[in-house]
Amino acid sequence: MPCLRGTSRPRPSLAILLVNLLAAGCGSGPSGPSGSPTPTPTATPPPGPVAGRYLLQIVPGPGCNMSRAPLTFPMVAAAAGTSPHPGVQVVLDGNPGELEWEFLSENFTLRGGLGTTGDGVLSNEATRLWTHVIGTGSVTRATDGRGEVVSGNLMGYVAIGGPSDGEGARGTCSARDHTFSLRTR
Amino acid sequence: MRNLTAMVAASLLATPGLIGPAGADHGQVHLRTSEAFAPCLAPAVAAFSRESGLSVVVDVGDLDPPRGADVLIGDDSEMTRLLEGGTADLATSFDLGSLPWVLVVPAGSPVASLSALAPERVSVMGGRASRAARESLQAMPAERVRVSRDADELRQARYALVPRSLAGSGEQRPSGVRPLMAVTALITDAPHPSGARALMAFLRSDRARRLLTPCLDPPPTEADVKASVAGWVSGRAFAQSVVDWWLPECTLTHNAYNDPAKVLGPPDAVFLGIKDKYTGLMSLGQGGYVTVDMGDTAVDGPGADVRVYQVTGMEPVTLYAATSAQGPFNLVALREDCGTRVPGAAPWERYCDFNLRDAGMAEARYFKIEDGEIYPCLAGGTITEGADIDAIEILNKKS
Repeated sequence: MPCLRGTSRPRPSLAILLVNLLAAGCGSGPSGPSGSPTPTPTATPPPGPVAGRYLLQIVPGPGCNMSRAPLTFPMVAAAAGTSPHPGVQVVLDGNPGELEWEFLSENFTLRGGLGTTGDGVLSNEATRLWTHVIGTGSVTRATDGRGEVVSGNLMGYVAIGGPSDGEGARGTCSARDHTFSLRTR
Repeated sequence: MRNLTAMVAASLLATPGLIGPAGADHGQVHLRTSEAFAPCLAPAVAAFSRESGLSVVVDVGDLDPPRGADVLIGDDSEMTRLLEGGTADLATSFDLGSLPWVLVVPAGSPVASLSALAPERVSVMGGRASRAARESLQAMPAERVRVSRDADELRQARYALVPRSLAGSGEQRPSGVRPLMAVTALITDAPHPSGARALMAFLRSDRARRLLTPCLDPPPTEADVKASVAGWVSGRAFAQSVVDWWLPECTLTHNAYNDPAKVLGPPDAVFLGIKDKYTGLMSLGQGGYVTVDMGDTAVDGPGADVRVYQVTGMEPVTLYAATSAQGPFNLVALREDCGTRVPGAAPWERYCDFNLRDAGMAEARYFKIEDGEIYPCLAGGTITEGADIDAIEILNKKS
């Protein structure tokens, strides 16, 4: 059993709680009971929940014949249900119905559909995005302990335009190798 | 939000009062349609107006919102959300005919794809109904693709990918893009209901069909349907049990048809004639899925191997296949439009076909059917968000 440092996360999962309880007995942490100076192997703590404020970045696939400049969006994430599988909802900060991601969240992996309405959604870069994709990404521990996705895959439809353009005015691309990141902010 | 709609209002003949029953509508009907279908409708609308004495105002642009229309005519992809949400009355909807996409090139151009012809620019019709057409051009640099909803501009383009009704004077060639399907429906609570019903009745008539036919390819005849049904695979095997499923919490909260068991067995979904009232289907919501055990094994054989039955409209479906319940599940097709009419079946019953070869598989017994519409749950206005799955069938069964 690796000796893990305890974490203090909002809404920890049962598995993480168990790990933390076991870790409490390891005795090598700075606040633990003094004992043998024998060094113990350190393990990276598991990521906390994907919750709070995030920055979503989307990059169209390498085969897309359009601008592949990253598009970024401020997002807010929260746990969303436990049955039949645990979920996480990630929505555009301030306009949740414009850009919404519904993830199934298990085994430190997020997987689910990201979509926009027919009006698309304006990115921080003033590019309008229309998308219907399935995304998958491994959750890793961010510097603040929360979970984040550093590099994930997107499969499906991406179209871009200027702020006042119609759908796809600056390109349309359906591909299986778009990428994204969902980083804490 | 910006206005993408080039509003063109055309008042076609205004000699009201000749038809008694529609008098309460003050002799006017508002028909809203999209750019592709407007040119096809003009002769039939003019004939209706002439014979009924009702004037018909034709508005051209996005169908959603309907902007005071009584009757809508649009492609499947434009009508799906309107019909499912009850804005348009599903019970009144029917097909007028299909409209192929054509490539327009200068006469005498070599036989080659548009990208191989390397024109300076290709114009393509824009809007929701053009997604497949735009995707077909994605090998071309985006700056050489001009997306437009201006009918005149599209007709003048030397190179274009447009519905046949918007083709200019160049040479027309088959495009390979799924044809548009003109679907009409009465708006629920139409402002001019009796006139609107009179127009719908006229559009159903043989006379109207004859007037539409030069522009729209007619829907299948009864003989076509019988021939198609006769050609169906007879060894029918349908999903037998649910292995796994997931719907987002938002979907579970807002949708009404969340029971995965409804996808089992043969197609049995029924629209009860009232907005949002169905039996026998599971709505997959935003990116939800259901995984089934077919009991039998599908094999890669002639033609399609697996069929998914989907209800109302043409919401896309993604299919994965596996030989074991634990997977791995291989992607067979991503976001396949699921709107092919089922010959001889109720108008809401649709299907889409899949080939195991596309996943590099010789056989499979377990299938994961995933929503491909992926529309934001929080913005959805219906209780049937996502692809609505009725059944899964093996077409090529292992003997």
